[in-house]
Order: sequence, then C-alpha cells, then structure tokens
Amino acid sequence: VIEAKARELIINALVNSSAMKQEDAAQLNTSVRNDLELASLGIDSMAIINFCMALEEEFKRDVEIEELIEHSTLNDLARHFAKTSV
Amino acid sequence: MKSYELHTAVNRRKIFNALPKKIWRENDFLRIWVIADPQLCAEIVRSSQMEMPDLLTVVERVETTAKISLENIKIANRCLPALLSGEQHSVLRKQLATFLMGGLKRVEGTLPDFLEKNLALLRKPGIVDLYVDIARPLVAHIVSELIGQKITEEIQNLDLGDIFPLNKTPSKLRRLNADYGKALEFLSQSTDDQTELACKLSCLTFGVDSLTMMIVENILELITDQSVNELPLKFPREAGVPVTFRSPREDCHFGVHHFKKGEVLRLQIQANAYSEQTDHRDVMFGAGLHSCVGRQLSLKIWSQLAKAINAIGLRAEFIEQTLGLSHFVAHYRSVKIRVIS
Repeated sequence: VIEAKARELIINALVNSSAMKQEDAAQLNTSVRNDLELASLGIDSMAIINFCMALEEEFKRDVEIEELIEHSTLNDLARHFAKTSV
Repeated sequence: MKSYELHTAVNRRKIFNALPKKIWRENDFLRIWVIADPQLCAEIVRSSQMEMPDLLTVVERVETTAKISLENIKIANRCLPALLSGEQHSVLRKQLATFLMGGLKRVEGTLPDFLEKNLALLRKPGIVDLYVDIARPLVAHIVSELIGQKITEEIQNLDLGDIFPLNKTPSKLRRLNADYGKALEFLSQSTDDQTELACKLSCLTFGVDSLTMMIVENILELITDQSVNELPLKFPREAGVPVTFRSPREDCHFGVHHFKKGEVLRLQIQANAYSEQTDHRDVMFGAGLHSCVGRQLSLKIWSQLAKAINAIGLRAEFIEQTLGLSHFVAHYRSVKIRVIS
C-alpha cells in the first residue's frame, strides 16, 4: 500500500466509524500535507473500537493496539500502514 | 522506552526510581494514562470511583458490528471475579477463595518433592533456561494440582490474562475468544459444574501467568541485584502481576489529577513493590474490591520456593531473555542464565 492510499483508507475508516464528518474528510483530502492529531477528534472509547473495526476492514489485516499508541497523527499512521500492509 | 514495555524492562527497579514523571498520558487518542506512583496506585485500586474497564460492552459492540460471535469471552466475563461487580462478584470471589484453599492443600503436599527434582539444574554449573526448565514445569505442576487436571502445553501457552488490558481491536478479541474456547473445552473434560468451571478458569487465567512471572523475576533479582543475598521468605520482591487497569466510573479527582469517565488508567502496580514504604509494598497484590484472591496461596508457594532456592545458595549470571509482547505480564519465551556453582 502506498502512503497516499493508506491515508485515504484511514480517512475512510474514520468516516465509516462516524469518528469524522464527510466534509472534514473532504477538507483533509485536499492535500496530503494536511495532517490531523487523532486525539483532536475527541471521540469516545466506543467510537475508537468502531474505528479499529473499520481499519481492519479497510486494510484487510489485523490491527494491534500498539500501532495506535505509537502513531498519533493521520500522516504518521498512514506512513506506518503503508509500510506494514500489502 | 515505550510505556507498555516498562513492566518487563531489564533493571526496571532503577528505571522506575529514575522516572522523571510518575503519572503521564500514554496516548491522547486512546485516552490512556500511565500511573507509576505507588501512593496513587494504592488510592486508585481502593477507590469506589474506579472500576475494571468494561469488557462486555466492547464485546457486544464488536459482535454486532463485525457480525462475529465472541461467546467464549462472554462466558469468561461471567466466570472471572475480576470482571464482575456487585453481588455476582462477591459470591464468585468467596467461591474462588474456598476452591483455592482446597487446591492449596494438594499443592503443599506435593510441592517439596517436586521442587527437589525441579530445581536440580540450579545445583550444578551450566546454562539453564529459567523459564523453560524451571518456571514452566513448576507452574504446570502447581496449576494442575489446583484444578485437579493435568494442564497441557497448549493450555499453558494460551494468553488468557490478556482479557484484562486494552480490548479495543476485533483481531485481539477474536484471538482471545479462540484461546478461551480452548480453555473452556479443556476444563469441561473434568467438570460440568459451572461454579467449579469458573474457579478453574480463574486459575488458568491468573495462575499461569502470574506465578510464572513471580518465579522468574524473583530468581532473576537474586542473580542480578548485588544487594540481594537471598530470597525473602515472607514476601517476594517482584510482583506476579506488574500492571492492572482501571477506569473512572465518572469524572473524578485524585489530588491534582483529573481523570475522566472512559479513560483507561494503566496502573504500574509493580512500582509498589519497589517502594520503601511497607503499606505501598502490600498493594503489589492489589487492594480493595479486586485485590488478588490468590494472594495467600501465592505467598505460601513463594515461601516454599524461596526456602528451597536459598538452601541451594544459587550463584549465577544472567545471559539473555526473549519475551513476547503483553500489556499485562511478561510473556517469556526464554530466560537464560549461567549457573556458576
């Protein structure tokens, strides 16, 4: 998976888990340089579980909690998933 | 160092003492705190404002959304006192305490002979794997005596203790569900009584990992810490369960610290074992509603083991260790030492 694609899949996961509004996703998609602190979304613990499920669905692989602990921004997480997903 | 590896770090007693902060936010998105302050750990585990992180709601959410069955985890959730509250918790806790008392008699009867054979490798010079050669067979013996059923390699390898921390990803819950399926199938060979099954499942979930860690870490301390000449008989220096988790029922304050409902507190309870204060050290087995039910059993086993190792006068050096990742205990693969004499 290339980084831009990984970024797109993560944004999809955020939208599909209702952690992010479609219009905010569209704004992020205007440039790959737009980054986002995931914590700034202010989502609750159940929404995080939805996000994890959506990530597994988008990337078709298991997601480990350490990946989310270690990569706290959208672009950082995208770089990580690009390296670790096929 | 990553905070979720602190509890298994080599020389962690020094690391804990040198931590610039004892309370910090591990991750803002997941809203996880790390608490390595012994006083705050003690206050939190005793507090009625805190509860174990809710597993059932997570499991039901994943089941509904991902359309998978996590039935074995739901059974475990009904069996493990640590995951229950109210009357259910209190009744099951008493039943487990009674069950462990019965098991302890069997363990005490067979342990001296078993230790005599099990510790033989520590009596002669050479390389010994503390986990593979010593702790693993010893824990298999103890847990088999407790549950009245010989545990298999496969059962001993299950990561059942991972039911407690950070259950947020479907993949982890699927693995956990499969592990509990194997454990339940194994235990159903020896009982169809639900109370007995619950007690045995508690033994597998806590006993295997915590006893293993208590044995390995305390022998390692004896070897690596120059200030330790022999093992203390009454109370181990290292905890069997180094980390526990809590969540606030509602937003709350502990001194200057404000914790919000839904946040996860990773309590590095092993910091209590490293404290100079006796009342802090006592909390290494937990305290309050969810204190360790197996505390007395663990201490009795510890006392016999420490006496046997002290009698050997073990002199050895640490070579290397391999660990798997766990947010709850140490998942050893290998812990090699060289016995000198």
